[in-house]
Amino acid sequence: MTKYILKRIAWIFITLWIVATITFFLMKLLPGTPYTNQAKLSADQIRIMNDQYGLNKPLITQYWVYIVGLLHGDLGTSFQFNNQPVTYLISNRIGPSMQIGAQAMIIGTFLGILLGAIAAVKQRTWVDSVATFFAIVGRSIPNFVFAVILQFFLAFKLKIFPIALWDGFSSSILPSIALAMAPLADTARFMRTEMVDVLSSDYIELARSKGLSSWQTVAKHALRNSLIPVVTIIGPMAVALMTGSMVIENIFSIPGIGEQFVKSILTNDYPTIMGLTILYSAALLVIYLVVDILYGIIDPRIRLSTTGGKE
Amino acid sequence: MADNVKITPDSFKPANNQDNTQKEEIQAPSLTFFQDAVRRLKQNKVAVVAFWVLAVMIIIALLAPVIAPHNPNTQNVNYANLPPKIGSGNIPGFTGKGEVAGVVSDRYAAAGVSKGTYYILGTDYLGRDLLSRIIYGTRLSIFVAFAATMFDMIIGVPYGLISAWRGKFTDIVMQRIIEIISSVPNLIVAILMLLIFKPGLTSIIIAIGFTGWITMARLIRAETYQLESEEYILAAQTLGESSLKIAFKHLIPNMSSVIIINTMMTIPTAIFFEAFLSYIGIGIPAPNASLGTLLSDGQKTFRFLPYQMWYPSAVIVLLMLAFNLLADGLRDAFDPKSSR
Repeated sequence: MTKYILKRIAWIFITLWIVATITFFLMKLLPGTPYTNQAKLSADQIRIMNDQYGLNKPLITQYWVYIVGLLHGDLGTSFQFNNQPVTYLISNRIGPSMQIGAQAMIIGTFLGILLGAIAAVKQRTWVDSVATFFAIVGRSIPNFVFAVILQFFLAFKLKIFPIALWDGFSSSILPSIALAMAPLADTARFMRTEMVDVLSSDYIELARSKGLSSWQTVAKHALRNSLIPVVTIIGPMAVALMTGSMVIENIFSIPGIGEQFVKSILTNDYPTIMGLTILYSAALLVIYLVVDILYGIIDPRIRLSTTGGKE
Repeated sequence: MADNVKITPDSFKPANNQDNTQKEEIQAPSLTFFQDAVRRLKQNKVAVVAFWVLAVMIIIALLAPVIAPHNPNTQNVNYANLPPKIGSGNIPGFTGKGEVAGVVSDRYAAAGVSKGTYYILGTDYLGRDLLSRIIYGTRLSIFVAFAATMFDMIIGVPYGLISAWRGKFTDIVMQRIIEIISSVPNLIVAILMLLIFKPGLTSIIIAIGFTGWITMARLIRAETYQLESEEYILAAQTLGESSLKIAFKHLIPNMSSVIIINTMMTIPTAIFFEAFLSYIGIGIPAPNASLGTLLSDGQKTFRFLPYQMWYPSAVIVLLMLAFNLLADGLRDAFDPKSSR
């Protein structure tokens, strides 16, 4: 087990190094310079700024400086946002993103599990059809459209929530719901499939024949056993939350890293784009690892293989 | 008591078994795998409706230059932000009247639009016809979706096949590459690729196609591993068939349902990606219409001119919904064991 985890952690570092290297050289390939927006700079000024940012050194030196900096937790300096270090920029903005992401995840998984379980218990009835249709609709509405619909009705028309600002819990509700839609739909769908499988198994039959009420059967046996595979969709869910946050934070004016990422793209702020890409993949890799370990703990039948053989 | 039933020797004659051959005869025509799937699909009413909705949308998209009432990119600032109107404005919701500073008035008269001219879904802030822009935007979405899916098939299927077929070291290396790519969220890979290429249709298709093939490659690899041990593959190998021929003649036809289902699942994702990228402003460049740009334009004014937001939203939701429902129907039809 320990050997497996250590091996995975080593692989995470290798992957991050490759991702960092690829993004670094991609950014260098990009046309244009960080000064494109400021046409009035003289050649001397550009030279001075290049000196300051170390942009006139050979590419390989720049790469070395970047990787060494990365190992020390230094992601470089932002070209656009008041010369702030990227790490500072990110650490200032990660709070709101984490809060909304966590809330969305809780709403999404909880309601998703509930919806999926109800659909499975009442399978092939109208309840099932409604739940399934709801899940498909949830998958079909792009999150930015859903966010704007929520904003229009709940914030603009009914004035229950603030339209777009970041100030306390009440302003985080709408974005969390908007972000939770996709995870909710996916969880519900996955949960239903699993639960239908479990409900037709022998031990459920046994539980029923022992005289347990159908409620007890579902709560004590079916629900627990169908929850195990649901753990595996946490990975894809994290991806959905990360990419979703980019538009949701924009729509609701939340000072988070998703909004920062979009801003950096639109202003060619390469160090910030690189920093955030590395951050996103680091988070994702850690989540994948945690999910795999959790899965092994929850379901002892699954042995984490140290060889990492074929699936 | 006993004499009621008359038993004659005739009762013990063997029954007439002449027709047995006829009983055994198969009456229904034998169906191929595809015919069977199509039959199951036709029984699924939701999927059939989704299919026809999509068919209509695709036809409209294909015939966009003929159907669109106006040129989608022609600007006419005098006619900016006109509300929806049909004919002479007798249909509720399409009256051509709008509210300005709390007073409802005929915006068409105010803008000095000539009598016969009307815009079914109104115009945007530059006076461009919204309906035409939505039609062209849908056309673009559908085009991007199909092109990106082709891309996904062209990379994903061979990648999975080669990875599983060659096995050993090749497989390990190819799987590591997949792991690295999937350690960065898809959309971010697409965005990084878009930053390198010039913005435009081709770049979007490449960027979406490049990120979409991972799932396909994984599925095909798993499927190939399963099929590899089948006897007919062994037989083909024994007969000296080349790997390429085995792939095209035996493996791919047997995986066709996996390929079809996964392709159908990829299409809504591709449509979403394109809309997303255009929405945040790095997709389709300015004058051209995409559902994503229409949505972001509409959102800016949705408090005052909500129709500019509702119609594009409705279209993209309908499009995604239809693709998702059809994909679900196809999966049930091709793979009846997995009931949803």
